[in-house]
Amino acid sequence: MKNKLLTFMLALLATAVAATAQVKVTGVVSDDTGYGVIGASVMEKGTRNGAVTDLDGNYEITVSPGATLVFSSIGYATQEIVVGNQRVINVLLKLDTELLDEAVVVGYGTMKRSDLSGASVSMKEEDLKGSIITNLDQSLQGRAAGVSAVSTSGAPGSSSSIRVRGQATVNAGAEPLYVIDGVIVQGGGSSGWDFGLSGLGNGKISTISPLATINPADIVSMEILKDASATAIYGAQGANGVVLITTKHGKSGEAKFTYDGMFAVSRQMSRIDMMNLREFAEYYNDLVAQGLTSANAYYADPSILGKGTNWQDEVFRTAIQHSHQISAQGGTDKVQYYVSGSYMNQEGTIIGSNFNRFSFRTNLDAQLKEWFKLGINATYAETKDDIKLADGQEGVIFYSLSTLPDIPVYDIDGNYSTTVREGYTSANPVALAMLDENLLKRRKLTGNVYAELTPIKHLVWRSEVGFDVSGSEATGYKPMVNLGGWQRGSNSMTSQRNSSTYWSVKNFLTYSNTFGKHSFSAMVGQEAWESRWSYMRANNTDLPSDEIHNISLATGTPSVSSGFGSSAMASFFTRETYNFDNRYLFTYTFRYDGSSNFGPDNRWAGFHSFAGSWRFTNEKFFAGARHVLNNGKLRVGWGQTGNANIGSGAWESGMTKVPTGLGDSQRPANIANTGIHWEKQRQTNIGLDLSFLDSRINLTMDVYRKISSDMLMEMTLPSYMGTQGNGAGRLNAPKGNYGTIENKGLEITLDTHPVLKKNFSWNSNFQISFNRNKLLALDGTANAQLVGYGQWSDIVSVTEIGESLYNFYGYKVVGVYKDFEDIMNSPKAEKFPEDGVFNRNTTVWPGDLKFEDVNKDGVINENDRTNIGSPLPKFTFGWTNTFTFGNVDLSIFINGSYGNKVLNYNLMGQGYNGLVHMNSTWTNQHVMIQDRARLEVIDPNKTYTQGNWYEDVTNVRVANSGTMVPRPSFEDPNDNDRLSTRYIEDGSYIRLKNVTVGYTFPKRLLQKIKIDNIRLYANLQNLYTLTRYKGYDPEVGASTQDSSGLTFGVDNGRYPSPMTCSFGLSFTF
Amino acid sequence: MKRILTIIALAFVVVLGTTSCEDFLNRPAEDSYTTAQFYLNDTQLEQGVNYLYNVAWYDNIRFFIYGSEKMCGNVWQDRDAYMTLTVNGTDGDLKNMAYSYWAENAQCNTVIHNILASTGDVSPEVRNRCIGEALAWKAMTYFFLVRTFGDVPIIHDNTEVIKEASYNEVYKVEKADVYEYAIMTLEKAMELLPKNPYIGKLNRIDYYAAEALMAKIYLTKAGVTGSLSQEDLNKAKQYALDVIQNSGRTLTPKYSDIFRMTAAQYQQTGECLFTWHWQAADKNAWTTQNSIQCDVGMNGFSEEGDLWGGWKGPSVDLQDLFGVSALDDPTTRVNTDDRRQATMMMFGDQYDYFWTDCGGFDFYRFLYDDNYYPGGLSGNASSKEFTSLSGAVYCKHLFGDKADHVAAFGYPSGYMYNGLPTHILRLADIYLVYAEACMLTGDASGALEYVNKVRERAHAAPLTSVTVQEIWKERRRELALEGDNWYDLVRRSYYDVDGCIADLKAQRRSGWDGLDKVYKNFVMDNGSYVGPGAHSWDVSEVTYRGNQELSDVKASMFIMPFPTEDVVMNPNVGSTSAPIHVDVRETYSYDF
Repeated sequence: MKNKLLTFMLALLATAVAATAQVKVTGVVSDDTGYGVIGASVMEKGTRNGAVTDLDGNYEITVSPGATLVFSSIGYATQEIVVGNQRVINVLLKLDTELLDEAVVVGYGTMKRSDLSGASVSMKEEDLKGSIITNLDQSLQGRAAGVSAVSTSGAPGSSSSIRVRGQATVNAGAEPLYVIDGVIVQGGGSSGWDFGLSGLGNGKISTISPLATINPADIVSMEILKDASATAIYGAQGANGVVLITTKHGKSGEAKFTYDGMFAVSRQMSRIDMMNLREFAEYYNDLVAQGLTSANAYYADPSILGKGTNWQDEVFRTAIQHSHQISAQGGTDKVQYYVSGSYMNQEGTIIGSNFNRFSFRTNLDAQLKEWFKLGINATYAETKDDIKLADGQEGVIFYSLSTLPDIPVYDIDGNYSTTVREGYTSANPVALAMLDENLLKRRKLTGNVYAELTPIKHLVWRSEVGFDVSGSEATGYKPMVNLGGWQRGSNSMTSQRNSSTYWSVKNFLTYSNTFGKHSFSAMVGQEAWESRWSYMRANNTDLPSDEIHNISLATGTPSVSSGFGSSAMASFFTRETYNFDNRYLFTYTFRYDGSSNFGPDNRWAGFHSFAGSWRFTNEKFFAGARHVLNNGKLRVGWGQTGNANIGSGAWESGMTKVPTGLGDSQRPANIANTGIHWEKQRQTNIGLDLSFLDSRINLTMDVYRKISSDMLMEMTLPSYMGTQGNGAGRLNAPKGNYGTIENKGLEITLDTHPVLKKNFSWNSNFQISFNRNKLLALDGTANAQLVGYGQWSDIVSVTEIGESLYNFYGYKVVGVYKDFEDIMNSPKAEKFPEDGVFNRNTTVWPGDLKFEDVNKDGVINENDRTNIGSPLPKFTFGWTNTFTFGNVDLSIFINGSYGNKVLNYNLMGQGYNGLVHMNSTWTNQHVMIQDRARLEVIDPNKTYTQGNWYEDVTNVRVANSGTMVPRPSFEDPNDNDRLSTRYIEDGSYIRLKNVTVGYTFPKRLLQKIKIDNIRLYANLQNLYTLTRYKGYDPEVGASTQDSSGLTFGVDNGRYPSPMTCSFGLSFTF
Repeated sequence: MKRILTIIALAFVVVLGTTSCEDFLNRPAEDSYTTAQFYLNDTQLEQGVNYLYNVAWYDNIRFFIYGSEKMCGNVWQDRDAYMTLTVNGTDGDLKNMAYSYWAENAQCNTVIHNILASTGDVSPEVRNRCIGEALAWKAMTYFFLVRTFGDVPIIHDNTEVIKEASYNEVYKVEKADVYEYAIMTLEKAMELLPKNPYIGKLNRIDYYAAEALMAKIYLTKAGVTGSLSQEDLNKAKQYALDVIQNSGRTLTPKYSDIFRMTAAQYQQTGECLFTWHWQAADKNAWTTQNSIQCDVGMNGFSEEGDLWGGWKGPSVDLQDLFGVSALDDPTTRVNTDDRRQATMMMFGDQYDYFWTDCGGFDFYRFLYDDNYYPGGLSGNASSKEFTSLSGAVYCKHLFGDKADHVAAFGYPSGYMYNGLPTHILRLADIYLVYAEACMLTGDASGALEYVNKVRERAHAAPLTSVTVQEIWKERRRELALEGDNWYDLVRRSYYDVDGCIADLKAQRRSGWDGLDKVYKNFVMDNGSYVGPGAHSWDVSEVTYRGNQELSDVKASMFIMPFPTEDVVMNPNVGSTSAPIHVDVRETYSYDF
């Protein structure tokens, strides 16, 4: 004891002596931009002596002479400087652009980025910041190589169709798996119909995003796992890629509050070029002149008519959006918290549509014992959608195009006006949008509770319980309508309540350790989840008035339907990694999954993956080249994943209730396929990561090939098998494992930092993705192709074995028949009169479309249909440039797509609905028809006792013979309206997607008012699009109307994405 | 130590929780039957076939109610490919019609398959009856198919075809063989169906309904080779006579009652043999309902507003056949036949069974009186214009307004839902089938007797002599707008296509110009409704257009183009591919 005391005293003395010899060092720590680095740490090496830089990067420290100072700050490379005789040491910290050792979230754990062998892309908070995002999935567009994100609709709250590395499956769900803080997001891809909003049409593909309930401001990062070696740990759920989302967690320290506010204005900038009243009148009079319709005094003199109603202007509006979020975070060493609350309200650009969301989040982490950590993440959200039937042939958009310009919006009494032309009711599009109500309210509580135990060193056991409890209330209300020609004598109401409960339990043990140059980790785990759902739906008519929307007031016959069910999955998995000297890395994963979607014999399947990488820049022989190539890694991976997204019940044959006039009936809902099993996917990936010149230039390239086999889908059968037509009447074909698809691709990301100066920096990120797919086989079926449908059962796409998916299928237009001679000298039209008697109403006629005789058999018939274009792009790209000038930052994001075709279904329509059909005088037409084949008389002196020159086939010719638009004909004997190249347009585009200008207030000023940070920004979205497409927006994803899921790029009254201008404010104190 | 123990305890819980994986994953449907759980008792068997009477037929109704009616000259519409007999294989109504037939065939095959597989405690009578009903519907489906498209594929058992994966290799079968297949199917149905209409089941198909169809099939098939087969005609006669004499069914006394909503009216005497039984109680079950009124009724005819049919109507030619004209002064118009007013509405017509809440329907006031409307509305929703240029509008297939529907069923119509049944084979048709078969086999007196029975019910003057042309005319008068008259032409075109072409060319298929002005003038004065006689009847300015008469009819037009979409998958069904001959009795059988 005495000895100890003595030693202590001596030591104290020694220190005191040393102190007298100490020196004071001052200086400025700055970075590449020339600004001082705030809060950088300056430590005397080997001691606890240290200081922190102030706002301008100044520091002051007293050290022993000859000491070594260690300068460090997060995000910068650490520097050490020996204190010699200098008393002022200014340090320039270099940005640690390599970021090689940041932790990256992978399935069931985190890894260092440098240890990754699979292909994945990260999106950080900064990437999401500033762009207006209602839904998370929207932010993926053009940002990550290999990820295509196309919004299915411009409606607020609608979803994007996301494809990771191309379309890997056609019928089962093709959207990636979303995992938020370890909890799998439920309900991917729901249609309004699923919620009971039958007023939204029969579309199958989601327009209602499951991610709409998540507040993007709570997100700290997103990790998109692309190749199978990365996704295989999700096994059966990983076939379409996995998006791992991490929310913000607190950091120890005093509470920090952040307010984020945003105000935005959106407007649909483009208009489809429909005829105005004067143009329509001219067209009408031309029809009269050819004896196609009777004269109408109203149109007689176009010069006295105005432009009439522009219905597009009437249904689109300038929409306001605003959002506010307040969050607080902080904590102690042991407990950290993050809490936030947000409110967002977004008007749609179509009158009457609206979306709003409240959300709250709490993330808590607590280190309860040295070996025991506990945490909870929970979020509650409430959303309300006011949805309009925008899409499809009965949607507001289509009606706004087809309704005649001679009808005013309101009549003289201020009521909506409508019209009926020959029985065809053009519902006033404004009334249509404003009268019917489709409300969807959703509530969702999701989150997880986890415990992390460290029983012995290097071994971590994490146990997690996840939950997702959600409910929705959907109300469809159709009021009484009494608008002249449009009457609805009784109102009706549908009310549906859905509820679902999901829970998951998972446990995984991870052991990791390092022995010399060898480090390895091993993880084994288990996961099980169950999802239960139920709905109750009531429908009734004849409420006493339209004021109170309560279905119990209805006096009609109520009909009630309900359903319930569940699905479950159980899994076991493992992952082993091995790292030798940071040069060679290997990963193996295996997952064994069981799903309740399949019958007893086919429930389980195992999925393996291997990956290896070689960081060749760490080899000794490479040392000399490191000043040029500072990091280089070659990655090779192979893996299996699966897909079970076919819904439950395909392995058995369920019965559906059908009411009939003879009483209730039960019909088999489908043909059972007891052998239905997993869809399997194998993917090989080779990647190369290169960083040049101190990571000023970073290049990542990946090539991949993935084969999806045993593809889950409904068998496509010819109509004589009874499988076509309305859903309730037809026999539903069996679902099974029928196809094999190959996707091959190349992804390149080039990330550069061309300028890093004191007052100016420039960062650029360019990514480009090429993907080719091919239908390899349709096993187990007699089919040689897949067919996809338009609105109902009209085939619009055919995929032959050996071809890429979704090719549009129809006739090729080569021109119009110029005259009688041309008809006689061309391949025989379908309605060529064998008896030589031509009739303009029943046979082919000059001015009809001349289709290509593809099979060269001399006649035009259904065998001449062929591939008329692919909706899939040859490549897509995105380019982000970020500039910083002092406190001002500017970010410009351009994206685009090349080589894809769009089927402009609005032009084609169905029956009387087409916008270029010229087969009635009830609907407005596109200005394109002004170039219609104009018939003129050849010999004006020929006299007729019966009929007129335009009924004499030998005496008419087309004046504008180069046109590709046919003559008007109400009977259309030549079927000019059928699907042909007439409706196929180039969908390539380059879009100035996003421009953000921000200003961050100087910290020096803010310090005085105790505010950490204030940033103001302005953002312009969808500013300009360069395209030849004639519709609203060339960005058309999966069809929202097709029930087969086998079409792509069909623009059927799609709600277009607007241009949005927003202003935001963010401050932290 | 404590730490380790806690962890072991937790691990134990976790392991226990995951032991029974198979139970956890076994989740058959909980909220509905599966086929294995159904068809287990008599009630379920009957429920299992009920839907063959409605859903699958829905897609066919537009072709049924105006596609084929326009072609045969019963209905007028301006500018329409059905009017010119030039419908293309991509036409929407045409495709839906084909989908409907094929769906019904597939559903019949599936039901039969499922009932045969039933292991439940079911009585043989009910089992046989239900299979019999499905077979009868199947025969009806093929009867529609072969008359519409001529040569068509035969899908005998969908499940088998799917199992064998032979669905893309099927061929069109020659129409004579398809007739034989329908007959063979019906023979089996007749073997299984009960003879006497069982109590309360009059709305279902029984032996005599199947036999009636058999008679009609034989009559149609008789000419398929190009000349009339006396043997087939004799069979038609024999089957028809058996139905007429032994079924216990007679004609409904009042013609218009056949087209009313309740069985108490339309089925008083069992006249209706094959009927689509729609429902309207559940407005959430699309395609289970009748929505024909929407397609054929005039705007404003019901307060539901779901009507748009006023721009087409029964043709001038059909009016000629009934001896009436749109130019007749309605106050003095003479109806020689009850069927005229029950088939079509003409200016001035009054109906006691429509708009019962308004004391009956007055066509004058409906058209032009602002203060005339059924309950609930604030104004007359008609277009205030007589819009059907043929001078008539549909009456058959109309049920009336909401109050009429409530009176019949106890609940309202609306949203394109009504419960009016649609009859597709009636006893009167069989009387005329018998008459035609008699006539074609030289028995003019037998023919006259039954033509006159049909006329007698309609209060039309009896004929003193009859020709086969007169029987065809009678068929149009009796069955107009019931989706059948086009097939009279098809039947005849087998052996007398030139006659059919000549008849079609002779039809008056165009509309009138100027009717609305005359009608309005007759009941209105100074812009307000006064009633008939407001001004004198003056049709001097009305002109017949004459622009839709058929000048170009070809033999090929009596066969509709087979929808072209399936050619993508199976080139054997293309428009130019040849049918094959199949010995159907060798190839297919119903051995149960």
